[in-house]
Amino acid sequence: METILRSRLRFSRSRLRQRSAASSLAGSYRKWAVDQERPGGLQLTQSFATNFATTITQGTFILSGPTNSATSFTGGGRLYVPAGSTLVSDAMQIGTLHVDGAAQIRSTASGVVSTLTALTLGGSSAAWTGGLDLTSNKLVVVDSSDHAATVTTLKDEATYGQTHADGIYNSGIDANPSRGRD
Amino acid sequence: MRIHRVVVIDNAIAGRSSFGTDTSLDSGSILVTTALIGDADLSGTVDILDLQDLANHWQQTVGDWVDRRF
Repeated sequence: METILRSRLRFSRSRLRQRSAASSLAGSYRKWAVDQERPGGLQLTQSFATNFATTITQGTFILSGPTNSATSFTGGGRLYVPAGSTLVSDAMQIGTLHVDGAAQIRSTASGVVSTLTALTLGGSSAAWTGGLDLTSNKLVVVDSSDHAATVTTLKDEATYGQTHADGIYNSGIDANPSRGRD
Repeated sequence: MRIHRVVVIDNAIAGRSSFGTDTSLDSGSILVTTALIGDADLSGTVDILDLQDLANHWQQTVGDWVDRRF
């Protein structure tokens, strides 16, 4: 399990280093360090930035650095953004996204729909501490096993996001006191 | 006045087959997006089709205001 995840990331790093040498890409990616490799997961403690798609085949990919960005995430694995960390991505088509910090699916022309089998935010009903900023994007959460409870939770998170930068929100419409205006 | 809202749509109720680039929806899908209030069919505009949708569900309890966006 860990081998698959590790090899995928090393592949991405290798490609980015090649690109860096050719195009003077910022060296932040070289700084990231693998802090923990364990069965089923991989944790990065420094900021992660890549212009390539990142595949989380299995296990949990933990982004503990303060600021992280990636073109997209794919695969059936789990992505975790801890408290104090931020992530910006164009799209996520993965198993589980768990956000205790802040994640944003930024607005892009492609408009690819993000798909998750589970979304978990830090906090609890009406007191969410993790935030997912959808901007203008669409998200599909596919949950057939605990469907009704998941619908209820997502609605609660979206309601909370109307007045907070946590829960599920759109920073494009929810950024000021007259929230919702264009 | 608020005109947009992040909405959560239970596709077990909505029965949509597609949502943007996602064409593989089923009854287990839950859709999250920003929508105009009153835009029941998520077309991007509030029009006669939304009024028809409202009329079709008049006094029904299925599909609360979040689902129907009214």
